[in-house]
Amino acid sequence: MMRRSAEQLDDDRMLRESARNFLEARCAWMPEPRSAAMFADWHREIAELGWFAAGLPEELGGLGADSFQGLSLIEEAGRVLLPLPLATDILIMPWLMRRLPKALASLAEPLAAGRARFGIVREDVRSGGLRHMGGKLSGRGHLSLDAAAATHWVVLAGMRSVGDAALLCVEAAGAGFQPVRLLDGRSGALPRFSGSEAAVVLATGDEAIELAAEIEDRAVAALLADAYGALAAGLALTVDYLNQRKQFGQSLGSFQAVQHLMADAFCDLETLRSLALWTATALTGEPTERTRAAASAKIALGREGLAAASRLIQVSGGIAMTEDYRIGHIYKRLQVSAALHGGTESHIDKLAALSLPPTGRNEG
Amino acid sequence: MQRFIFEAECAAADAPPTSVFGVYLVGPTIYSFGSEEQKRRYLPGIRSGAEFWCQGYSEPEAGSDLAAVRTTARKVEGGWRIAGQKAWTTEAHFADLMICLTRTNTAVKSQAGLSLFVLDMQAPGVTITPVITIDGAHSVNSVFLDDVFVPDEALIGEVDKGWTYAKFLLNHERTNNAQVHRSRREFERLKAAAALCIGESGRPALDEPGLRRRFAIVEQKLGGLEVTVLRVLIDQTQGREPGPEASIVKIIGSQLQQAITELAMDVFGAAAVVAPEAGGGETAGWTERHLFRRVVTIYAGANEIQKTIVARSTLGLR
Repeated sequence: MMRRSAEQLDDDRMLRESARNFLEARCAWMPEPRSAAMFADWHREIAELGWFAAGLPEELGGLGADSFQGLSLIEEAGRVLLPLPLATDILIMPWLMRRLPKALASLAEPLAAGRARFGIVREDVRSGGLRHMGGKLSGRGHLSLDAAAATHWVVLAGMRSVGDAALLCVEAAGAGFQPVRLLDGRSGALPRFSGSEAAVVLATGDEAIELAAEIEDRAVAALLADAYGALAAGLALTVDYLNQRKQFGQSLGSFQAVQHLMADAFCDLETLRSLALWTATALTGEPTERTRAAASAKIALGREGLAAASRLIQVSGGIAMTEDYRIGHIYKRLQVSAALHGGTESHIDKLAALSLPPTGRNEG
Repeated sequence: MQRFIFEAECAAADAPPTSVFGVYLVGPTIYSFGSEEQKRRYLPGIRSGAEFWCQGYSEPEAGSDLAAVRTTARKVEGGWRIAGQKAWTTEAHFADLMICLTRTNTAVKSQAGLSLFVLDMQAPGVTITPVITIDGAHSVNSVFLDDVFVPDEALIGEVDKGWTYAKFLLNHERTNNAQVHRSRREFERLKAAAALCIGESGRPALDEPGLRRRFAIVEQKLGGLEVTVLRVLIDQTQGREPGPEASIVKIIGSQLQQAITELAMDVFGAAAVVAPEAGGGETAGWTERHLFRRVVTIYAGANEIQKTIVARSTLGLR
């Protein structure tokens, strides 16, 4: 991935520039919440720009873009803290449609056109998980970022055992969820199933577990791209502010204590960037490395990412405590991301399991 | 990139590190700025390891503020007389030659009047005094230079251009400061040791949830640094200017080096604080390495200097 051809690099740059131009012109960040009508307009315009078609294979009417290009769109959306969830439709569904063309090909054109929107529903183990039997689902889903606006849910059920594991596609219209407003103003959903939903089984057993693991790793890659975009834009904003704001007769940026906090924030941001790049590369590689990269990246989001955002608040001072200033919103967005698709501590456990010998091997 | 791979393999095999000063510092300086005669005379000895070098940069009054160097080189018939004191000179007591930063012009701005010389450590007027460090070992020295004569041919490049040469090297060599391969190898060895070492609860140390958590966090940071160093190297091999991440590998790499031995101290617990002469087994060397490891955030430009450079040059704070 890091070695992209000159042609690919040109494509990457053009895609990124056009995305940035569109987002800054139409979706520039502002503190006031936007209307549902505005969200619908944005979604339609983004579909017209071809973002959802980009990652689909050519035989499904797509452009065959790779996950790097999908991630750069998500990163650009992160820069303006776009409140629309795009990750599933840009990064996960085109790949899943490629993997499961029989079951999902008919949804490719609606996805590309923006008529079909997808949400990922993971099970909430604390409330007993999601059970699946004969096409019927029951139980509760974990907090989902994209289920509320979706037309279809991809449901990861029974993932704790091969016998129960199933990956399903459910029409959202017949399914219930409790809408919730998230810390950063975005909409979330707590899905629940009563057994009456129309569910299509996409995969079961080992295949379902493998696909679910890759869905989770892709979701993490998207969260990282989004967080990097948000933080990189926040860092640039903060540099400008520190060079312009004067206290004690000099710019804040000239104080060494402030400079060192900013250098620390930059180190954190670049660590996050490196792990995001590794994860993006590993999406096309073998599963163990992919999951190891994604776990490392998710830890970086929760540790280095939040540390960087809190340093940006600290150096900006009081203004960053206000609802009108962007930095606080970046902090809240990262806080939400850190809690999704497995919290920081659960990814630390996962990475320990992947990189250390198992416990208890000297017993018995 | 080839060096990165070579060093990865050396570290994985626990091979002793190659001489930092000869291979990484003096060699590149001489092949970039030295005369044909100097290349012919010094490069083969560096390559074969027959000649050992030390670095005469730091002084009692010029540590992180390297441009404050006071050692002077005075022009005399057929050469120069060098007078002053060098500090923290690593392995001066083994060295055949020193690359010596001196002031040749006091009339100009501090960075402008410096020159680089090759100095024979056996020459009359060179006195080496050991400095015992925090780990109880002798690796650094004070070197007193009492009107040491060096011939005209000992000057590297041009007079008063020494700062330019020193800076070129710092930019050229930043990835080396990350020590990423040595950290990876050391971390893998610590994992192996922690699997065998019994923790305070009577279980293997690597079964302790708190330690497992810390191992995972170091794993994550090390993974990040490995990729960051590769990003710098890819920019170099593709002939691009180093990106902003080049400036931070020293900061992150040094912090990580310390994190690994800090973790080792917690893995070994009481066994690690028994004086070295009584120790042995797997803890041998860890405590001493841990103590000396404090230096990595100080040397090669203290991390505070690096952070100021990042803030001003990379981020543009003013």
